[in-house]
Amino acid sequence: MKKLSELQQDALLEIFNIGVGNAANSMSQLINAEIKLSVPKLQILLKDHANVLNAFVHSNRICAVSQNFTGPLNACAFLVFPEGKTQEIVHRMMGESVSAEELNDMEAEALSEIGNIILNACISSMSDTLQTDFESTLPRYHLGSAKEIFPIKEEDNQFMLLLHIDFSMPKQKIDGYLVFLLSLESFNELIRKIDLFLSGI
Amino acid sequence: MSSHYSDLVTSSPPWVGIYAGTVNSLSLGIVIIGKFSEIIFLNQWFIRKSGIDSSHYIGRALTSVFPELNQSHLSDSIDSALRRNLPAVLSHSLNKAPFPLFDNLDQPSQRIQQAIHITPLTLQTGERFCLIQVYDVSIAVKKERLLREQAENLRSLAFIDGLTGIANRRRMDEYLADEFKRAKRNHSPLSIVMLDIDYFKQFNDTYGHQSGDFCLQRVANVIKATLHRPADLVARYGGEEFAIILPDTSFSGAVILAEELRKNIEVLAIAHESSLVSPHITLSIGISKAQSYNNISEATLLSQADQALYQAKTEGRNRVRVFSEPSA
Repeated sequence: MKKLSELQQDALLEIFNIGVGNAANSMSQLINAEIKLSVPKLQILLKDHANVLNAFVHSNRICAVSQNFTGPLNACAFLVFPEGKTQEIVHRMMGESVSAEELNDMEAEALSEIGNIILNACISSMSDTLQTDFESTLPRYHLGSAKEIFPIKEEDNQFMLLLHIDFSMPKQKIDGYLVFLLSLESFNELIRKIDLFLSGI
Repeated sequence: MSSHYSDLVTSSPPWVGIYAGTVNSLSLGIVIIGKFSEIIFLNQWFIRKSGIDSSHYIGRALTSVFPELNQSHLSDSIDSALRRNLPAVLSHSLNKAPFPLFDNLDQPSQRIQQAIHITPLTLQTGERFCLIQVYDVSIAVKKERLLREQAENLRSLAFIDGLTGIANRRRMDEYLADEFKRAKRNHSPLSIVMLDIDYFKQFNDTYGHQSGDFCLQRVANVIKATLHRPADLVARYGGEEFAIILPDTSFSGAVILAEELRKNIEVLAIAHESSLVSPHITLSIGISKAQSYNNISEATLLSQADQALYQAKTEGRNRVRVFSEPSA
């Protein structure tokens, strides 16, 4: 299992915290209420991704927004919340109180936008710091088990970068996750870029 | 700059002409922004719905044509597409109607509701543009609002007693479960008052069911009017039985309220000639209270109020009784 040095970990955490900090600003502006986002923890996994994630979100079904990023390194990025929690976020942001299970299309769309803001901000922060450019797909919305949403085979050697994200709104705190799936080559490229950045400071 | 692109359009027929025709025939708005944030292209749909003079916008900054977009999430997203190559979605839920677009330009109060996709377009030459797609989601939004209202209506109907307009049994069960949990957590008192109209069957037999219904409505109204705090809930528990949930209310508080209720009904003086206790409608009332929450459930609390009510009845009706643990 690949291990990052403490310095490399700190650099990555910093990149993501800058990203989600910017995202929080955009979102606060969008809804006129203070939203705070932070990423306190980071883990790298090579096995049992879906199971680990399930254990983290304490829910069999999860809600996710994904974008595929391509460039010098490729990554599938996901913003993940336990099912049900997303409604709280979206309702608060939309200022609506009624929750009807069948009326989920608009919520899915709103959540896609929230995911889009957060994922774009993280990638922007990464491309600023590591001096790389990425292309990206539009966000996609998923609802299902972690296994369905992350169709990873053990032999694929996929690295999962798992970041805990604290989502705090007025009177509410929600735990979510940022997940980046990277191939071995992309992961190595990421580390190379981080080392390059660290040697430049 | 714009001539450059029109050259391109004429230089390689027929495909470019077909593309241009297609884009102009689409039933959605297409806006293309250049690297200086200037407008390069607006399709016919967008021009029609925005009513802007087509000779005036080409080459102008989007935010000077639409000043309200200055420092908006929309213009930030366009910047991010141009500078960072990142796409964005702007949902209707969070943005409503960023562009001033109208189905009827004479009625500028009703904007077209929008969902927007923003995509960077990078040519082989490396030159980058930003494509904005504006979808009209007005119909979907209207439908959604209607559904929401209906769902809310149905929901409230499902929790209201049709005859008296107060909460029904189902609503009371939910409320009691919530309040019981809360009281247990906070170690705060919780009382239940159960009341029953005396000799109501005889009332119905004497005066008819319509009068019976009217009597129930009047009693419900008196109870509602007697309750002081928003947290107090009265529900129709059964035929002529009502229950009141009193959070944060001590035994003595519940007794005072019950006595007040009993008197208020007496004062109402609804004639009841077949009653054996009074010439008017009267109430029998039972009260229970959660003291410690160790070995008691909300069901026990309800049944204790019911037992107290039964006691009030057996002791002669038109009175208030509180539940007391039978001494072993």
